[in-house]
Amino acid sequence: MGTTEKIREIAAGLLRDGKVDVVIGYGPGTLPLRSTPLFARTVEEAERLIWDATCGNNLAVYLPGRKDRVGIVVKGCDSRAVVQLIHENQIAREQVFVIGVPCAGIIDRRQVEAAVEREIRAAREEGAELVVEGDGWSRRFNREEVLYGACRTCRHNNPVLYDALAGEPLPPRDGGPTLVEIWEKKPAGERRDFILSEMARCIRCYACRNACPMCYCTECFVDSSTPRWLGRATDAGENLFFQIGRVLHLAGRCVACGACSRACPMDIKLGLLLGKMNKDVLELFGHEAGLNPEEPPALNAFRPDDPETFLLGK
Amino acid sequence: MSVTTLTAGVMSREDLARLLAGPASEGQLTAPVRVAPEVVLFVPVRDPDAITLDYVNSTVPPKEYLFPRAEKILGWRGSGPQPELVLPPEPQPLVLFGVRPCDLRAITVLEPVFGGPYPDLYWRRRRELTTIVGLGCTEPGPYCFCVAWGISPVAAPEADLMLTPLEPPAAGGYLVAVQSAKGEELLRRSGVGLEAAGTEPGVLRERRAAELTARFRRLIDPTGVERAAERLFEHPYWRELARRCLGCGICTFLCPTCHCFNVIDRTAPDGSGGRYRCWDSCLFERFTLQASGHNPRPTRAERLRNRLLHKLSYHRTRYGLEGCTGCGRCVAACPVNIDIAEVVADLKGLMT
Ligand code: SF4
Ligand code: SF4
Ligand code: SF4
Repeated sequence: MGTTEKIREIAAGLLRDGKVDVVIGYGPGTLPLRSTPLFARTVEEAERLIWDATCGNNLAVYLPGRKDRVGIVVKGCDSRAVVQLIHENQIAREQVFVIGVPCAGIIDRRQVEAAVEREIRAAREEGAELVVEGDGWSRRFNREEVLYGACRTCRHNNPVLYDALAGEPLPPRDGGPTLVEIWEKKPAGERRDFILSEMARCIRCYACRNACPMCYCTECFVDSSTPRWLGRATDAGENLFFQIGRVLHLAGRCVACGACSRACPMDIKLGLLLGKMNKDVLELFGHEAGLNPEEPPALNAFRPDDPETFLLGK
Repeated sequence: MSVTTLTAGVMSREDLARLLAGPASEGQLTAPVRVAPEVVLFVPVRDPDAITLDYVNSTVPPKEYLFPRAEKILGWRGSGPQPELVLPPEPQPLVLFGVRPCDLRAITVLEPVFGGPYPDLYWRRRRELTTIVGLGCTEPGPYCFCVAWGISPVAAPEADLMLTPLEPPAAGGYLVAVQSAKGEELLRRSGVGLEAAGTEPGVLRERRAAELTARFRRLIDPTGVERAAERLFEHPYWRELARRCLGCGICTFLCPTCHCFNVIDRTAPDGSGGRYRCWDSCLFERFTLQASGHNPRPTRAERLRNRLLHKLSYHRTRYGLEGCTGCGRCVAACPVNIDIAEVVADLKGLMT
């Protein structure tokens, strides 16, 4: 049985038995290479659920503050967001039924679209290849090469928390050096110039924030008008201030799902800033967000021997 | 809007560089450049070689050169009861090269908003100072559906000079239609001469339009969709659709016809500062939040409905113009695949 059928079966069962009010999963998108979040509330609607390599959204973004009982389809990274949201009391463990999917990586549709620059009529996976077709042309991509950067080095492709698993666990990826590891070695000036040129592109649409399952504050500091922390002049400095604020608010909470960079229409490498912060948290506190349901988040736990080098400057 | 063609003729691909050389050397040229692997933007260009001709459309519409993301409308120096007013810098003459027909149509769509009975000074001024060189398309992009709105993918009356590529890819040169005095002036100063087209220019253009139009597969028929505002305003469809919406501002910020703004002041510690007009988005919760705490569009359902009906109905009711040009940007960039073309089909389905 394929993953799609398995998800449908689990979801239909949950809805039929009245165990949940809704199952949040993926449905077919309006165009090739696209899927869309699907909220199934009946057994019939559950029949429309799908799973494939375009199911990129982190659906945990729909969890904070829910009052109903919900089934949710999660990949490895998404499951970490569920764990973290439970830690942060945004949703109760009893409220969620987690349908885990071992993930082989999500296709970066923009990369494919930019490579073909034409109307795409069909796309399908054939073994290790992605086949894209249009009006009288067809092109094959090595699937691995058109995955999102975060997927290529993903170390947590199997869900860390689930009530049912749709599919067999996959071998963990060897990962290789992450973008941050490569980037950290560059001289400070080069890193600063790169970050500023990325930030200059930001149009402050706030898609990064809104796509992030951990950005659920009812009042975001960027929207506050008393005091007004930030204007809307969208210059590189203000944009960087926004991103630094966001990254710091996510310290010890970012689950590295890549939802922010994926949502960004300007292809801004937000993963670098967040990845660097995640790496620092790991090195300082030995903690990675959302990996262990038993272990409290780094900034929720105080130990007298917590490192404080960043405070004392030593 | 009818096309006024003063003259028309053919120029070679090499002539394009000559056409743009003058404005480029004077620092007046703005053109599409691939600034990141997946991002093409209209940016100031000094070297015409930096221009990318190999693009479907820019990520952000060129609208920002007529209606900037953040425009300083006044400044002041000193604090106290009588600060000294400082006028913002005057906009400079600009040649905007490479504007696609959907984005050219968007100018017509915005004209009654900014140029109506109470003309907007800033828009007016920039319109006057900008010479627009339109560039017809050679391929429907992955998200394009301009033809659904009756837009020709190769020509548009809004351009001062309209370039229609003669053979894809544009190696065969361009059919150039001179459509205004500004266009005539740009051509004259460049010294580029137009050669007579073998075929009557209008016929040639029609033929290219027909060839390309036939290749679009995103076919929607929006006829009558504007009635949804009356008939489906309270329909549960909107709530259902908005379940997915993240409430980000992508669809509004990337839309060539969205035009909402907010006015904010920025003050430095010494009391001096400036007043800016900045893009705003009706998808943001605070867009309609009132000082009393009441919000007439309290959830994403009302906000998303507003945006979509503005495109599909209100603009047309108010100005007799379609609010969407089928550029496909919102469809391409919406993180959750909310697709205005699908919404058109859904609404029409619900009304039959
Ligand atoms: S999604 Fe990208 S463009 Fe939008 S606010 Fe975030 S970084 Fe800026
Ligand atoms: S781009 Fe999509 S998710 Fe963002 S506000 Fe628009 S419809 Fe909603
Ligand atoms: S509504 Fe979408 S497709 Fe239509 S003009 Fe705006 S961005 Fe383009």
